[in-house]
Formats: sequence, C-alpha cells, structure tokens
Amino acid sequence: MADTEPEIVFAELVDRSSERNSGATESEIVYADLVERKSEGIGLNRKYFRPEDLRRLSHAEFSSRRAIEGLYSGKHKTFQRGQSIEFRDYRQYLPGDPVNHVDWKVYGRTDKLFIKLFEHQAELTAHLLVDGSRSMVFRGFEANGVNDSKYDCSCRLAAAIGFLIAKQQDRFSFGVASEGLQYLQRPGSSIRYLLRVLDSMEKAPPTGTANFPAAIDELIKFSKSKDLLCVFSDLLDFSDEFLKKLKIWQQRGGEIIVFHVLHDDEISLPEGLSDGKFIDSESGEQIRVNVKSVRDQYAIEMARFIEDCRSQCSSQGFDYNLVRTSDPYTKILQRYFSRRADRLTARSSNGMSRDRSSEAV
Amino acid sequence: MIQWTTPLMLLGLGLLALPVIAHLLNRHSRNRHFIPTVRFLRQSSAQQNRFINLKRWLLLFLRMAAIALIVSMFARPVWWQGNAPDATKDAVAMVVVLDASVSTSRQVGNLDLFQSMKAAAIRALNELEPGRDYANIVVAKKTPNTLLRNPTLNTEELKRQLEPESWSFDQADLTAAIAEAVSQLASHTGQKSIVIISDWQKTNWQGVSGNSPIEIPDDVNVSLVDLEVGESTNIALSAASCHPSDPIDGQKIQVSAEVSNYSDQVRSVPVRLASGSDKLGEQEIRLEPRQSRVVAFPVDFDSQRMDSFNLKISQDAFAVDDVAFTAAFSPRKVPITVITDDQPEEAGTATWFLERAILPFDGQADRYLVQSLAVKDVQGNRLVGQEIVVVGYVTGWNPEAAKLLIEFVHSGGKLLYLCGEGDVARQTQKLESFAGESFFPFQLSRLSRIKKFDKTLYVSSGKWRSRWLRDFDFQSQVALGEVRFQNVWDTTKTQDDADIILQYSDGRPTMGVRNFGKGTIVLANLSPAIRFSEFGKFGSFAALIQIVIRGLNEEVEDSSRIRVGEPIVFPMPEDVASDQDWSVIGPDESDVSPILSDGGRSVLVSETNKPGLYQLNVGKKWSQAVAVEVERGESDLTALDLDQVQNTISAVESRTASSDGFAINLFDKGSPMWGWVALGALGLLSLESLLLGWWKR
Repeated sequence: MADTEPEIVFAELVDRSSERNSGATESEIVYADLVERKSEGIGLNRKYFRPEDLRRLSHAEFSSRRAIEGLYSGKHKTFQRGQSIEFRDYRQYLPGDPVNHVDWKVYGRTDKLFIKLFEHQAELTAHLLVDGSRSMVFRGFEANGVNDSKYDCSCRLAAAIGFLIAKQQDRFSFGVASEGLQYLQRPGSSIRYLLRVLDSMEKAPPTGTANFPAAIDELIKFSKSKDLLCVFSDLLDFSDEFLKKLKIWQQRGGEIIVFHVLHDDEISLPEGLSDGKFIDSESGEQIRVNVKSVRDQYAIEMARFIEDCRSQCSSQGFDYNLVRTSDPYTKILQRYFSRRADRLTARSSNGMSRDRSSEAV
Repeated sequence: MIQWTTPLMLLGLGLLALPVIAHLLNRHSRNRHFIPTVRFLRQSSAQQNRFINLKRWLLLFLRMAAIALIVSMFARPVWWQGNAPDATKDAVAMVVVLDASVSTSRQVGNLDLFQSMKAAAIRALNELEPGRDYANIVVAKKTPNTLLRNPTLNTEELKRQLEPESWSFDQADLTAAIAEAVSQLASHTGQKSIVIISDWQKTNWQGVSGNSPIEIPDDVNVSLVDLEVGESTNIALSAASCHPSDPIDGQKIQVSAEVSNYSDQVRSVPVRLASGSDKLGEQEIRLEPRQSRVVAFPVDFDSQRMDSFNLKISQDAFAVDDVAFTAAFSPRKVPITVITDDQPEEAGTATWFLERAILPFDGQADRYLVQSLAVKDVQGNRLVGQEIVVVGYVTGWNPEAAKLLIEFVHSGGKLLYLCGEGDVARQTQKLESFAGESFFPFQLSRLSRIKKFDKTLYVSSGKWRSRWLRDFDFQSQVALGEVRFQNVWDTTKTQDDADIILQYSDGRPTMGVRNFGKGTIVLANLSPAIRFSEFGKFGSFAALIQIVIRGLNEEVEDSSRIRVGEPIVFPMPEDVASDQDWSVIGPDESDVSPILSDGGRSVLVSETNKPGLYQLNVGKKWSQAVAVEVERGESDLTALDLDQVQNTISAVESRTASSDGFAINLFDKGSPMWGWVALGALGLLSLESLLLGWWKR
C-alpha cells in the first residue's frame, strides 16, 4: 500500500495539471517522468520529502494573502490590470488607450467614454529561507541521530510548501541562511527544480550563525516587491536588524510567513535530564546547570521568548507560526492552512473582495 | 591537648582526597549537553548556580569532615586537660597490695571476695604498658608475701605467680605490706604507684597504723581500689569454752560460746552443740543489732565420748567463724610464779598454804605450773612467760625486783598480792614509788591486831555476782564468813578505779582489784600464814585462791586465746616413754609438723595455719585438744569509708579507683574522644544524607 500511494498522488497531480492546462505541459511530462523514475527507485522519496505524507495536502493550495505582482499570468490576483476576465474598475478614456477597451454600453447610457479595467492574475513567487545556523542542528538531549533536528523539520516544511507551490505551478526559491544566503536556488516551479532544492537542503550543513539580514538583503536583490517570504528559523538570533529587514520586505508589499521552529526539549527541559555542562551550539558558551533547580525558570524564560517573537511578528503583520519538531510536518501544514483559511474567510466576510480560490490559504 | 593513641592511622587522612576527587569529577561532569538556548539557562541559573556551588562546597566540606573524623576515630584521640605524658619516658612502677586477710574469704556472688580481688589485681596489671612498666604484687597476710623479688617488666609472669595465691586465715598486716610496697618502689625513678586492693574491713584498717598515718613518699601515688562489695552482714561464733575446764565424768559442765551479730538487723540464730557426731543440743538465740551474747549448753560430761565440742550456726557468707571448737582438759598449764621469802616446803608458812591452795591435787591434774622465787631471785627474765604472779611474803623489795614486777603487770601480767606478815605497808609504798603512780587498789597504813574475839573481823560482804566471785557458792560464802581475822591491815586510800570485791565487817577492804597498764592487780588484805591468821587452814582459803586465780586466768585466757598463726605448746605427759608414738592432728586431719621441744617435755606446733581443733595423741590413752580460732575482729565485716582510709595513708596523691569489672582507672589516661568523634562523623554523614535528600526532593 505504501508503495502504491505515491503513484496515486502523482496521478492526481497529473490529472489536475491536465485539467488546468490545456494540452501537454512541462509539469505533466515531469510527473510522468517522475513516476517512471520512481519505478527506477529514484523519484521524490528524499530525506526531506516523502510523497506519502503529501496525500493529505494534495487538496490544498498555497497562495499569498496579499495581491501579488507577477510577470507571468497565473491564478493569484494582483493589483495589476491585465488580461483576465475579472472586472476591476472603470476609468475615463484617455487618448492613446486602445479603442477596443472602451465600454460602449456605458457610452450609450452616459455618452462618456470609459475604459473597462480588468485584473491581472499573476503567478505566486515564494522565497523559502531556512535557518542554517548551528543552533538548528539541535535534535533534543536524547539525540541518537534518529530524531529530526530543527533544520530537518524546517526543510521538510519548506519542501512540502515548495512542492505545493510547484504543484500549482507557481514559483519558489530556496536559500539557507548561514552566514548570509547560501545554497540559493533561484525561483522555479518544476518538479526537477524541486528535486534540485531537495538536493540543496540535504547538502547544506547547518553551521555558524544565520545572519538573516544579509540573507534577506540578497533575496531582495532578485525578488519582486510583492513576493512571499517564508522564514524557517528558531529565531534565536531574532535581532532588531533582522526585524528591520523583514519590515523592509513587508513595506515592499511582500508577505512574510515565519515558521518558528523549536524542539520540545528546548521549550521545556525534559524530565530525567541529568545535571551537567550545557554548551551553546553556536557560541560555544558553557554553563553548569542543576536542571531541576532551573527547569521552571527556564520554561518561563522560553515562554517569554516565544511570546515575544509572536507579539513582534503579529504587531508587524507577519504570519507567525510556532512549530514543534515533534509534530508531523503534514499536520503542521494542515493546521497552518486551516488557520490561514479562517483568517481569509473572515477578511472576505468583512467586505473584502471574494477570494476566488476559497481553498487557497 | 589532644594526643593520638595510634597516630599511624592518621595516614588515613589521605582519604580526604576522595571527596575532593569526587567533587572535581562531578564538577567536570561527563554529562555535556549541547543546547542552543544557553542564554536562557544562564538567565535562569544565575542565582541557582551560586546556590548550587554553595551546596557543592557544603557537601564537600561535610564529606571531608566526616572522613577526617572517621580517620581520627581510628587514631583514637585522647583529650588531656594538661600536657599529655610522654609514653616513651614515663615508665610506671606499680606495686599491688592485695589484702589476703581471712575476711576476704567471704562469698560475694558465686566467688569468694579474694578471687574478685585477684581479678581486680590482674586488671590493674593490665593498665600497665607491656614492656615498659614494672609491677609487683604484695599479698598482705600476717607476714607480707611479695610474689617476685623485685618489680618486673614481665607482668604475665606476675599474673602466673598470682594465680595460686589464696586468702589466709590470718589478719593481714597491712602496714607491713604497704611498707614492703614502698620499699619495692624505692629504686624506681619514673612514676610510682601503689594500688591497694582490700575489702577495707574496718577492724583491720582502723588499727593499721595506730594513731599516726602510714607515711608514703611524696612521689608515690596511691590508688585505693573500691570493689563495691556492698554491705556485708555476719553472725560469728567465738570464744568457745568449757566450764569448768577440767571436769570429771558425770559432772555438769557448761559449754559456751559468744555469738555476735555484726549487722544492723535483729537476727535469730540457731546454735547447735555437738561433740564429734553426737548432737548435744540446740538453742535459738535472738541478737539485737551489733550485740554479742554468750550461749551456754549444760552437758553431762563423759570423757569417753566428749574429747571436744563444736558449736555451729547456719552458714553465712563468711563461713570461717560459723563454727567454734573447744575441749575439756585444757592441756596448757598456766605458769604462776610465787614470790616469797619464806620456805614453801616449811609447813605453816604463807607460801606452804598458798601453794597447797594453788595446786590442790599436787600432780598432773592441776592447771597451774608454779615456780617459787625469792625476791632476790626476781631478776633478769625470770618473769618472762609467766602469766600470774602471787606475792606471798616479802621481806623487802629490791629495785630490780620491784621494777620487774611493775613491768610485768604493766605489760599485761596478773598479780595477786597477799598482805600478811612483815612491813607490807612499806613494801607496797615502795612498789608504788617505783611505779611512780598509784599501783594498788588501796593503800595500807598499819597492821591492826585485834585481841578480843568478838572484835575480830570477818568477811561480811562481797560482789558475789562479779566474774571474780561468781563461782563462790552460798555455802562457801557462809564458810568464808565464819573465818575470824585478828590481824588485818588498816587501809587508807582506795583508788577511784579500784573494785573492792570483798569487805570486812568493819568496812575495810578485804580484796580489791585494779588494772594497771595492761595488767590486773588483786590486793588481798589477808594472809594464810599460820603466824598471822588461821585462814590458811580453812578450805574456804583454797577456794578463794582458786577462784581468784581462775578469775585472773580468765583474763589471761581471753588475751592468750590461740589465734591462727600462733604456736601451740602441748605439755607431754611425764610418764611417757621416749619410744612411744605421738602425733598432732590439725583441723581436717592436716599435718601440722609438730616438734618436740623443751627437752621432750612439750610438743610445739610452731605455726597454726587454720582455725579448728589441734589434737595431740600420745599412745592410745593420752589425748589433748586445743581450739584455734580466727582473729575475732575479722568477723566484723563492716567496711571503712575510703575517705577515712585515705586519712590513714599519708600520701601526696591518694585517690579512689573504681573497678567496673573490666578495667581499673588507675592512671590519668585523659578523656577518650573516639566515641564523640564517631558520633560526630555519623552526625555529619546523616546531615549530608539529609541535605542530599532535601535537595533532591
């Protein structure tokens, strides 16, 4: 059953792709190719991407909460006026405007020349930025190489989101924030591209510090103003500079989603943890701790830190999501998508323009 | 200051490194955790770390202190108030004086007291440092017995020598024993110690040094070991006698003994009389506290089966005095000297009548051995060994004779002075002048010669119930009152301490008794001389002389009762053949090694070592028995308070050491601290466990 499930998923993907795109598309070819290659034992079954887990996400779509701006036409609404059939506004005819844009019915009623404006629907471009600092290696105190590290968890989430984006033929980029932007994969949307991203994830060893400001600066260079930025990080270096860069991204019109990835053992020190020397993953700072005596205070400090991150993100309008590595990433995404859908629904009911993709979150 | 008994154990302080190592190992814990959120830990543990460090240091301190105390415990610390003695230099010489008097034979628990005292002596020896300290033991008996010639390092040998020692039937000469102990220590240069182990019997220690305490050198420490025997009560039999001592078959005699209650309770004691296996009688006698009473058994004498008598009471803790012996026919002839200047062989002289009254049987049956001396012959040692002197007729006293007589009386001799012919008043005054003080019970002034018969004097009154005259029966009293005295000395001054036992009809003394020194004087205002009176012809004269001499002899008998350790002289019958077998059998048929002495006229048992009957058997028909008893004072087991004993011993440091059955605290060994140290270590470990439990809770 486990062997056949990915085939079903891929088949669905191919079917949907066939429905939305007339004729044979590149994705269709790639999916077919993937299926063939899966039979050869390669396929999508990578460390950070398990197709069998995507069954529950297969119906979901990933979109921006804001209007985006894209070069290519797609299914996401933009503030650009373009060629879509969605009516947006009227304006007076100005000399030079194409005459065929004149709404003659209005001219007949008002004897004035108005031009009908239509929305421009563009593709979504998301930038997946994973924290590649040394602190992301943390797998818990009982680490035996089996448990997922925060980096693993982040990459799984990023891969899943990337897959969803690629699945709806939007574009995403991938980068690792490790002393700046590393392992950058410029935006793409193909499954082959996804495979390259997965390769990059596996190759990128978390080391040093993240230096998110530098990484975001790099991203800004080739991103458009209304692109989506997904940050996967433990936010342990959540500095003012980092916040400032995020604000710049937002002020450019882009959306920011923060996945705050933490390990359970970080949030609260586990029972049975022996006393000893605690060494900081990044700075190497050492401290001798009697676990029992500091456990409660540590939990308070961590809760305060998480709340601080949440409040800062929320106040800036960032989409903040706390992720525990112990939770399956599919459930994390499901939970996130459902919460995001609730927010969009609420916004629509408040007079916002109806979101065409009600499923999109 | 603290002194370590086994300082080598302090090497164990190296174990202190263990908690330090453990502390360091714990500090450099192998538990290393990598965590990215150290900054939050740091914030949380900023205060906690200080507390944890404090706890760690506290635990380290507790553990180190506990180990240090445990090691110290094995090193056995001793706390000294002053400076601790140098164990290598201050060798101790100790002499144990062990009281072996008969009172130590009493039963205390299952052992006799002497066994407990020997054990205490061994414990005292155990207090010494083997190979360094010297020791010896003086067993205090009648003559002190020093177990080894000099103090020895070999205390084990000393213990072996002590093993066969036993109590004696003697009264211990403690003064001599302590003096011997002092002499044993004289040559030692280090610490000197005398340990006296005794039952502290009052009668023994009160007279130990007379009025002056025993002098002990200043550098000798004296320890009096208190065995805490407790109050001992005792009922004793003593002074058994047979009265008359020379009965004939069928005669009613009285066998008596003195029963003494040496306790503070009223006691009823059954006393049984037996002769050999024949039970002759039993009486229950009630005794008030500290009371002595004479119990007497009337017996019809039968010489065939009553060669000796024994009286018994039920056995108590001190068994030695629970039986007393006596025998009829005292073999001992009391030596009497008659000083007279007339001829004893000449009939009618005072001496002739006198000797006839003293020796009525004129032979073997008489109790007295009489020698007659003229005054000029009273010189040198002629009165030595004599017990009674009777002065008959003296023409005049020469100084030597007078001095000998006065000295004889002063030292315990008995004197019967008859006032007859001659200038007796002058002679008595001369004796008193030699004595330098009053000598006679009354003084004589001049001789009264009464010519008219109806004016003559007679003995009208007497103290017939006194011990002097109690045997003078009524008929004899009447007979004596019939005698008329025409020549009687006037008397002037009667001494206050004189006892006038007979008086003439005009009230002047007939016979008076007075003690002088240790002796007794009986002055008789009468004489048997036929030229002086007719009294010598009367049978009542013989009776009176016999009774008075017997009275004097009773005192002699009391003071000369044979005690254990004293010799016995048996007179050998004159008609015994030289080749006739004879033997002396001691108590329990023990061999007493008798020897013939005095040219074969007597048998000497030089030393009696047991109380009981000593019997001389000559052939098949001659047998004499002598009872030997322990010193009467030994029966009183009352102990003297040790403070009083200390007063009798003049030592710079004299103290009481108690024996707890395990050890005797003879020397100041400081205060052992290891118990407290162990307690402290346990306390620290408990505190450490408590803190660990509390912190991990």
